[in-house]
Parts: sequence; C-alpha cells; structure tokens
Amino acid sequence: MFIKKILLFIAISFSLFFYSCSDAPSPLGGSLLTVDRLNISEVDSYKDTLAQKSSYVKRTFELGGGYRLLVGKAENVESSTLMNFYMPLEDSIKNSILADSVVIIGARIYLRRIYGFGNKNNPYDFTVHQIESGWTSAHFTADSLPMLSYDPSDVSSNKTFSDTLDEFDINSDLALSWLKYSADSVGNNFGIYIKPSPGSQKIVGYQALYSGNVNEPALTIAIQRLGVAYTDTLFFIANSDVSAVTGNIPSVTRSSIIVQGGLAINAKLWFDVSRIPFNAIINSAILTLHFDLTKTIIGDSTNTILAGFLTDSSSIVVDSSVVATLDSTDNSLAGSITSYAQRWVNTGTNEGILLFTRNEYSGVDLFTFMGSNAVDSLKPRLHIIYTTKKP
Amino acid sequence: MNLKFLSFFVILLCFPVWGQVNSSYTRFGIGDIQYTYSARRLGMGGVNISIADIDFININNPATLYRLNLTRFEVALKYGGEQLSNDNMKKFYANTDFNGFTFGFPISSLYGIGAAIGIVPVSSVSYHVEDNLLFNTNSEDSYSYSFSGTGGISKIFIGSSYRTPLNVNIGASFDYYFGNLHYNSSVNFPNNSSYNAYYSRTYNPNGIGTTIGLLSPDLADVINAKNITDFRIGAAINYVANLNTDTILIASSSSKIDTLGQSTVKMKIPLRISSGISFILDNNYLFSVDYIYQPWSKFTFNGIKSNYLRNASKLSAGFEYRPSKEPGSSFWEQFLFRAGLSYEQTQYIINGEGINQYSISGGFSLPLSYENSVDVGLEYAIRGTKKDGLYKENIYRLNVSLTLGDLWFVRRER
Repeated sequence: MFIKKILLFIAISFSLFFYSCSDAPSPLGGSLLTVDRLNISEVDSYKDTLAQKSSYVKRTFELGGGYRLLVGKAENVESSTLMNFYMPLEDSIKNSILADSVVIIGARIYLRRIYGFGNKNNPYDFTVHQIESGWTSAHFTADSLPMLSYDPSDVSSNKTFSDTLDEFDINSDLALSWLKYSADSVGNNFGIYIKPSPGSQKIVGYQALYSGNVNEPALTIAIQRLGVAYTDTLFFIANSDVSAVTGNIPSVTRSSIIVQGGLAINAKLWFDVSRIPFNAIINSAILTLHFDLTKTIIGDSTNTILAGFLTDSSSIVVDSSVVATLDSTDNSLAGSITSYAQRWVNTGTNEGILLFTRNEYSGVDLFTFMGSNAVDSLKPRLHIIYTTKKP
Repeated sequence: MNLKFLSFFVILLCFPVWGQVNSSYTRFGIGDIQYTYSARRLGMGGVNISIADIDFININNPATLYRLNLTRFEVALKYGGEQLSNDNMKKFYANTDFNGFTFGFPISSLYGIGAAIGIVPVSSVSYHVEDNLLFNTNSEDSYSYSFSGTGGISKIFIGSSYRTPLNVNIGASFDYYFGNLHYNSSVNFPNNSSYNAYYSRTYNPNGIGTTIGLLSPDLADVINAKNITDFRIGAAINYVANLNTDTILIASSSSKIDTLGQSTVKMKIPLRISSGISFILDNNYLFSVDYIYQPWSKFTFNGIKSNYLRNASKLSAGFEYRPSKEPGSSFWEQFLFRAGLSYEQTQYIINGEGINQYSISGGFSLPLSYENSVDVGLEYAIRGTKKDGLYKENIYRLNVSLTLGDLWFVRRER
C-alpha cells in the first residue's frame, strides 16, 4: 500500500513535469548560430540601377467571352454588337407559322445597361441591321467586321433609352422570318447588328448572354394566330452575342504606356533581375505603376489592372494559371508579383509581365501609366526583398 | 507474461531515441553527448565504467555484463528543464522524452558471459531561437528570424562479456548508429503579402561502431585495505566508423520548393576513451570515479573540421548506499540512495570560449519487489558562461527508469 502511494506520487510529479510550461522561443543563443544565418537583401528599382523596358501593343482577340455588349463611340474607340436569339416554339405555334396563319403584332428587344464609358450626358444612338452572313461569337473579332454582310437599312424603331434599360422594336417581317426559320429551318437567322450612330459620343455596355443572367438580352414577339381569340407573346433570350471594338491607339507622350480593354491594348514590362542569386527565395516583389491621370479614362464601373506572367513576350503568351492584381493607391497602382520574380530568378528566363485590364473583354477603360522612359521617380517601380543562405 | 514483455520491447524499437533540450550549443558537432540514459547512473554523476551490478545493465562497459544474474529489462524517461540566461534576459524551457531501453541476460556465470541489447541515445540536437527585426531603419517592414534544430543520433547495440582465465572480464558490443539531424532557418514576415522563407538542412547519418571494455578482478586483496571490497578498475573505448551521412538542403516558400544540395558525405566521430575505479566500503557504500576523454577537435564532417569543437573530457565521482539485500527485507531496507558530482569540459568552444559544465546529482531506487525497482535520478548542472555574447544554462534533469528482473531461459525441472 505504501509503495503504491509512493508510485502514485512519482506518477503525479512526473505528469506535472510533462505539462510544465516553457517560455516562448527567444533570441537567446541566436548570436551563436552564424552557420544558419540567412541574408535578407533588397533590390529597389527606385534606388538601384535596375534596367527596365516598357512598351504597349494593340492586339486583336475575340470578345465573345465578355459579359458586356458594347455599343457606341467615345474617345478613340467605336464598338458595335452582333446578336441572335434562341427561338424554340411550341408545336401549336409552329404549326400556325407553317400554315402562314400568324400575324406579327409587335417584336421588341430589351437590353439592360450595366456599363458606361464617356460622359453619361453625351448623345447616344444606334441603328439595327439584319445580318446576312454567318458568324460565331467564339471567333468574331474587330478584324472580322469588314467581312460582315448586313442590310444597311435600320430595322429598329420606337427606341427608348433609360439609365438601366434600352429597348426597341424590330421590323415585323424580320421577326416573322426568324419564326419561320425556327419552324421549318429554311432560310437563315443570323441575328442583328447594332451599330452606333455617327453622332454617338459615349459607349454603353449591356448585359450579355452570361450564365443564365436574368438581365441578358431578350426578345419578345407578340403574334395573333388565325382562329385564336387571344394574342400570344413569345419570349426569347439571346443565343449568341459578341462585340467588336475598333479604333486607334490614343496618342500619348513617349514616357507613357497604355492599357485599354476591348480594343485591346496591352503593355509589356520587363525588369532586369539578374543580380538576384538563382537560389534566392523571393519574399516580396511589389510592382508599382504611376498613373498619367490626364490620359486615364475609366468607365462607371470599377476596374483595375492585372499583371500576367509572360512566357513569350514576342507572341505575347501568358501563363493563364496565374495572374496578379494591381490595386489603386492614390495616383498609383501596386500589387505583388512575388511568384513571378521567383520564377524569373529560378529559371533564369525573364520574359517580363503583361499588363491588361480586369475587364479586358467587357470594357474599354483606358489606363495610361508612366513608362520606363519617364523620370526615375515616376517609372514603374519593382521592389524585391529576397533571402539567401550561406552554402 | 514474457510475450507481452517482448511486444512492449518491439514497440519501443519503433521509436527513435534522443534526448531533447533547448540549447543553441547543440547546433555544433552532433549536439549534446548523452553519456548515460539511466536514472541510476545519472544519480551517481554518470559514473559506470568500473561498476558491475547484478541488477543493472551497464552499456558503457560491456565487460560489466558478466555480473547479471537475471534477465533484466530497463526503460527510461527523461525530463529536462533548462533556464537560459544572459545579461539581458532569462528564459525557461522544458520537455520530456523517452530515453532508451536495454535488455540483458546472463548466459554463463562460469565463464562470465552476459549479453545485452538495446537502443539508447548518443546525442541530441534541440534549439529554437526567434528574433524580431526591422528590415532596415527606413522601412516599416519587420520580420522575424527563426532557427530551430531537432533530432539526434541513437544507437542499437548488442554486447557480451567474457571472463578470461586471469579473471579479467572483457566485453564488446556491436553498435549501429542512426539518426536525423535537422537544422532549420526561416524568415517570417507578419504581412500576408510577403512570402516566408524556409531553409531546411537535414543529415541522416548511419554506420557501425563498437565498444570494447575491460574490468579488473576484485583488487581489494591487493590494496589490503580493511572494510573495502570489490575494488575494480575498468576501461572502455568507443569507436565509431565513419558514418555515411545523407545530406539535403531544401529551400522553400509559398512559391517554391527547391533542393539546393544533396549528397552523401562522411561523418567522423572521434574515439572515446573511458576509465573508472570503484570500490565498496563496509559492504554497503559504493564509491566510484570515472574519467572520459574524447578528442572532438578531430571530428570531421565531409572532411572538414569544426571550429566550434575542442577535446572533451569529463571527471565524475559517485556514491551509492546499497543496504545488504536479504529476503524479507522491508521497503526501506531495500531503498538505495545515490549522489554524484561531475565536471565536464564539453566539446563546445564558441567565440574562443570553452563551454564547461558542473553538475551535482542524486537519486534513489524504489523497490517494486525483490528484483524490480523504479529508479529516479536528479541532476542540476550549470553550463556555459555569459561572457563573449554567450549564455549560461541552469539545467535540471530528472530521469525515471523502470528496472525489471526475471528468471528467463532456464529449463524448469518437471
């Protein structure tokens, strides 16, 4: 019994030792560990002589993936839109159409405004034309526009514009031809081409066909069938749509670089980071760009600049798996491109970065920055902190 | 019963064994040397070279195994607490670890043959240092350094003894060394936008060695002193062949994992020479003195000597009160007390300053039954100095060992 008590005492004492508290790690003894010491260094293009290059280039790509349809003219750009509608029909209506016993009472298209570029009070108008040649949103670009065949006559009427919704009637014959095509597949339905009027001085962005969004383009057709006492109102949504943005690169000073969506203008930026050892760990690489505010025009929606990792600067190929966001701070944009710098250092290959707008496919916002030819204090700045270890 | 015992033994084999402390000194060489794993020997200042007990497996001198009279098993746990201090601060760290086990058994009392196997710690590395710094005086960027080291070297041994015709006992063990030494450095930034940097250097040494020991016969008659019995001189050498050491240095961050270097190199651990003398006074009082020498200045890693190592030596003296054991003895009559002192010139020399250690220890054995006991060893030690940017350690160690004895491998008469 006595032995058990002693053993119990030892067990309890030992358990207390198990749970005895230790202080948090401290600097004590750190000065001895020179063999493990890490070197933290920095390279700052603002303070150090760090070669850099910047340029910008106008590219052409399909805007079919955008979530806005752009129509209008403003600054250096003009945008028009193509769309057609998905028009499934009930059998009874289809039969009436095939029997030519349908009369179009009215056909109207609704477009929901979600973006504006340019002064909202500026004049705005467009004409609507029947497209006479085939197109697909996946492959249609601004370069495709000259080949597009369309009827020059305006098929729209009774247009009403508001801050949130634009709507207009389309020609009843055109609407009937679409219904007939849907019923018998004879002929075609290439949709409509919405072209800004010459006097337009702003660009409007409408909600595009986009993942079943309730605000996507809609077409209603009211029909009267012979022998039926009531009017049928048919509702259709867009089947395919795409914008085509044309224009010229705005003129800026030699010290500036441009990034603009839609058109699309991208900027390339390159810093010489070869002075960083290949085995360094990049702790932080912050890119800062200074706005040229006199030439920066952003629409009524927020937008920012993204930085892509260029794998081929000549043909402009970026690694689509990574993207860095530059956030606005006063008169500049800044963001982390740490992983990019790490890859440049590790691989020894540095093709630079590509700057483009977040809404590159859905807006025409124009960003102008001070480039590598600007004065030192306004040049693009890359500040890198890195760690190396003694061998 | 024996099956359970063996199962426990096998499970323990799965655990690596090394002690854990928190000392930047352990960054150098292979870390702190574990001279004894046992609570019994810790309580006597670490002496053991010339002591042959019937109820204790002495791994540092296999010649002493001849005296085992029963199959014995010993397992040990260790608590370590350290108070580190320099002129500016004082910190306390503590932890507890499994500290090894041994298994021994007699084979022939006629020829003095005993055998033992086990797994015990050889060295330990354990430190964790952190410091907050500013990147530069003009920057608000702050970061913290972190250095940590873990691991150690252990050995699995199998040894045996033999009594020569001259009544001198000899013994040898075959030792297999293995372990992991991890040295980590990191830079940590408090802001989320910066990536932390981690460097991890790992050594995996493995190889063989041997321990050869001698133990004199009882020389009490030679010195012809009254009341002195079991007067013995012992010596042992511990040789470690060059250890093949796989090394790897890895750098990593959130955006990269990169192997900066990988190779297999040789680690040379210098020969250790140990000697001791012991005697029993008035049949109950055991006295012993040990001296250990190991020229750590000859330690090389990948052929390169370390500037932080010097020749190490340790002088220990110990005492044990062991009452005469008689069947039917009371609990207190079976109670063993121990005490010891030691002075150690450790292998560390840093900033030109040698790191020395002074320790005092004590302990006791609590009998569980006639052949089984719980041994407790306590040690208080002071190591290091506050001079030259170094720090002092007040070390508290508590070892608890369970020692079990039983009659195995004996054919029972029907």
